[in-house]
Amino acid sequence: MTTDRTNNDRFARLASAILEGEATPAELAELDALLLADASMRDEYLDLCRLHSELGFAAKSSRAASAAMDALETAMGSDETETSEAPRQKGTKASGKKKEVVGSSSPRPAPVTLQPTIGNFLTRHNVSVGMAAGLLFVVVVLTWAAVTYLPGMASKDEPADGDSNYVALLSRRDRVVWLDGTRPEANRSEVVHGQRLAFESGMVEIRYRTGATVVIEGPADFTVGKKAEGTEAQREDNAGFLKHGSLVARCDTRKSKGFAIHTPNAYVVDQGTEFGVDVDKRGAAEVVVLSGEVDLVREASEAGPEERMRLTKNQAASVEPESRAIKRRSTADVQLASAMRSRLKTIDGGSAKADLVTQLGILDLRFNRGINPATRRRWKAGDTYRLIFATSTGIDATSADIADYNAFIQNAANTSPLGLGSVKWKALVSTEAVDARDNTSTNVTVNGAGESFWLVDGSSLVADNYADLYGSDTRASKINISETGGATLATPNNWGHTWTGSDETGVEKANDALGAGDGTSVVGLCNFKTHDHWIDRFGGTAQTNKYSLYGVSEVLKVTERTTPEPSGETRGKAPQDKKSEVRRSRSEKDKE
Amino acid sequence: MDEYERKSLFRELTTRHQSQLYGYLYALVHNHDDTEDLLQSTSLVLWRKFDQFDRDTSFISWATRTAYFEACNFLRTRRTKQVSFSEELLDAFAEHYETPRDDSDEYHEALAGCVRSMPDDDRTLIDQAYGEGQSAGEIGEQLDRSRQSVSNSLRRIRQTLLHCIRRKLAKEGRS
Repeated sequence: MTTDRTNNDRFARLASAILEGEATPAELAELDALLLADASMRDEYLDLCRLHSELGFAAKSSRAASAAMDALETAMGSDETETSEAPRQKGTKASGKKKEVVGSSSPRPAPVTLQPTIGNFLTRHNVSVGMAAGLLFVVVVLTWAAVTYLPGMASKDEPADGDSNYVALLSRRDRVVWLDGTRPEANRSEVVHGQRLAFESGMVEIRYRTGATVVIEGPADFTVGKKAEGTEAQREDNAGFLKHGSLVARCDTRKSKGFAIHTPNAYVVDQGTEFGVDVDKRGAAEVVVLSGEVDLVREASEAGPEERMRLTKNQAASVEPESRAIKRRSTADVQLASAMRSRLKTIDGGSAKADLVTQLGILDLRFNRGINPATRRRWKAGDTYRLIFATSTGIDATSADIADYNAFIQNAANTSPLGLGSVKWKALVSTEAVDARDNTSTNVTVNGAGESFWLVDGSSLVADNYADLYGSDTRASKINISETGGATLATPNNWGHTWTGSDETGVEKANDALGAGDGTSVVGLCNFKTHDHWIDRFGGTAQTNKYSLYGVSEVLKVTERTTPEPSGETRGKAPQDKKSEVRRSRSEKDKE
Repeated sequence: MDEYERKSLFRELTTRHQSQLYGYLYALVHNHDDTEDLLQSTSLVLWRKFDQFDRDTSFISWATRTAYFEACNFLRTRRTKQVSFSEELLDAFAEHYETPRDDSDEYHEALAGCVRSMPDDDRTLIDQAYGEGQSAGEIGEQLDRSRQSVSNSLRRIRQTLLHCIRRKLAKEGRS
């Protein structure tokens, strides 16, 4: 029966067309008839759809926060019924536009978004650009952690003291491939003292009852408590033991102060902070402090007395197994940065070109797998791109002079802690005299295919080119980072109303341009999770309201690095590093 | 279970099963935009009704039942506007999916193993199609192959993976 099923070429072709978004209505009807007639084929179809979905999720495992989870977290945090209405009100322009096929055009399953936490994070912690490169692994992990945070979770929802025996809760696991039978029981999230979590790949988040949150990236071997599983140790409920792997810890509650991460050769004691720890299989540890302070301690032994070093924000240090000394690592330490970079490459696909720099230093070329979306080739010197944000403050739409809006945007950029003010910015708005696409030089007819657009977190792709920006791509509806690197003016009530005065092609919306005589204009919605109403959502909105504007940068350049980057890593290469090399060589082969 | 534990458990369960739930919804509505909406609305319904979930039963079974009803309601309201599967087929899907496999961890392990064992060229195609979200046409353009040729390769790869995963799950007694 199975052989018959899989050999049914027609079924296979039709199912494939569905998965690739290429099926016509006639093909859908044909598949409908086939599936109705054959139960085993229905099973096969369901299995194929599951595989299709799992592959899509697996491929983007480091960007695990889907739109569904975003909405869910909001609902869980607020329990406001109006939140649950949001998804139902969205349009379906994308599917509606593709009349010839019944699915969407790409084989890509669930769009999975990277939330704007990298930008937020860097801003919040004043991490310099140089340091940021070295810390990107940690930041990516922290990003994953941050999107899992319910508002106020650590403080308001701190678990009440009770008689439960658990130390922490397994609050998220994403694409985890467990090792050594450490997979936790299904439907149980409690983690008890001494419980080991060993996994080959994926990410795990656990929340201690003290309020400390730890995000661990595989491959890793972690035990809740002070020592490795099976070893004698006094019970310690505010600690973990990282035998090897990478983690980021956040300790921002009163009870979590003193949270400790033990490693084979040293331990880190938190003093109210966020920090990252990376331990290789030899037991060598690197510690980076992202905020606050930690103490890095090497315990006294026969070989010598206790060594202790206080590390503060943006400081790093390492401990080697063969040496008792704790070595301070400067932020410019190439070896540390290089090691961190190699781990980031594992997450992002290992396709970045280290000899390129981006104007403003915000765009990280490692995202999108190192591919320039506009050229569909690897980034190279001379490539160009643009940045886009939605303002953190509002302006009314009563002026008919586009210069007023451009000034508002440039002023926002000038005050940006991200340093956006060193380039020119324009408002993506239309007045009756000037269309948004002309004001921002994004008119395909005049300006050509154009550049890709990225959020100012430097990692979130908004559009591949100008046509894509004004197309139905839902990515544009996630312009949810402001010039501050933090939140836009969006609120739960307005979903990010943003003045545009434009229709979906970037042209003045008839009678609804900014400053139009009837006192109303059109808004789009930034920060709206899944649909493409970023530019044209509500007409007839009173111009006296103060809403965000979208700001678009001038064309920015990718150039060769002017100072050569020293090379060399202190560590042996992890298996995944080798994978990255294989991936790189495959890609280069394809290019040929 | 206090509120903190309830939220944590729910978050953990939905994260673990969301790709499986997505696949099920996609099978019904065969459109990524609609699937994403439905995954979102289903998750919200599940959260509202989470008190009714019995921890000793299968979460994915409970979740897919809810997802099925959400999808049917959605398709009924959209039926006049968009081509979709017949109601008879949707009913048939429900019959076939009353007891979905609660095997997400094993499935992910099997999938990871199967992908690892594939030839480099096939893994590159998977990367391009699923990692970079490129269409068969776009991949073909880069590799100097026809769209149909890439599509055929992807179909073969999916079949290979499906058989491999079934084999591995069967070994664990989960197929």
